[in-house]
Amino acid sequence: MAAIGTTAAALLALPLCVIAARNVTPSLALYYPARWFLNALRGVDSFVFALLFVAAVGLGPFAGVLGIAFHTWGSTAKLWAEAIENIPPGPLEAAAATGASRVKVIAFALLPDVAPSMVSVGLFWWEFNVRASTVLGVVGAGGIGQELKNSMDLLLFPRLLTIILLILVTVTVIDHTSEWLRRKLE
Amino acid sequence: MATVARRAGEYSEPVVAWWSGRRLRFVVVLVLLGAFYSASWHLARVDPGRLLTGLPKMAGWAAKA
Repeated sequence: MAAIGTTAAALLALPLCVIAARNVTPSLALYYPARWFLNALRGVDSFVFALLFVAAVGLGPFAGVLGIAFHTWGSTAKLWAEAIENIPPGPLEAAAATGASRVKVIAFALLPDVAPSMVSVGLFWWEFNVRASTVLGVVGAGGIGQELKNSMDLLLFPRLLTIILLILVTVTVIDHTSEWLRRKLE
Repeated sequence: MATVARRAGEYSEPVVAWWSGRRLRFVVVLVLLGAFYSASWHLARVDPGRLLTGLPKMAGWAAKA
């Protein structure tokens, strides 16, 4: 649930973060609506989105995936846009001075510069969403949270603690993967 | 890296083995990633059809809000 939701959010956030970054946005007429849209997505928590999607698409983990994806889309795109705004303008200007198109400047001057922080932010959100999905199960959005709630309701405490242990292991693995990937990208 | 001898004036191309350890590792990582996402997709019961019916419903609620 967290993996699919975070990946979908990252794919959707990629074009939007370029539009929402002041230094590379194609037009200010697009910049402000993009920022407002991201604020609207960030303003609604994944729990609330999941509640809405349970009503719209029905019970099950798909509602949780959508809840996670929509909230993470806004948060990831905003953090990526800020990472883009903080890079020094030199490499972008140098690439543009060679006559490179806008797409080439973004692909060869911008992305290599911001890739480590983008990966770091993406993995942070994945880790965050793994923990968030434990709560989403309570509202009928399935996933490991549903198993957690069932174990709690049936008083199966050894099973409950196994699930909590699994969540801890997953979060630790993601944390180490994030650290390893960041080191590789630097 | 070994190179293939060429005529004068031509660049010598490095010989790249079709099947190297690095490529094998890349393919293994790709297959593992594919399996992970395939399993996640299946477990999350992703159904874009339900989203297509759900989003207009949500848009209707937003319009009435």
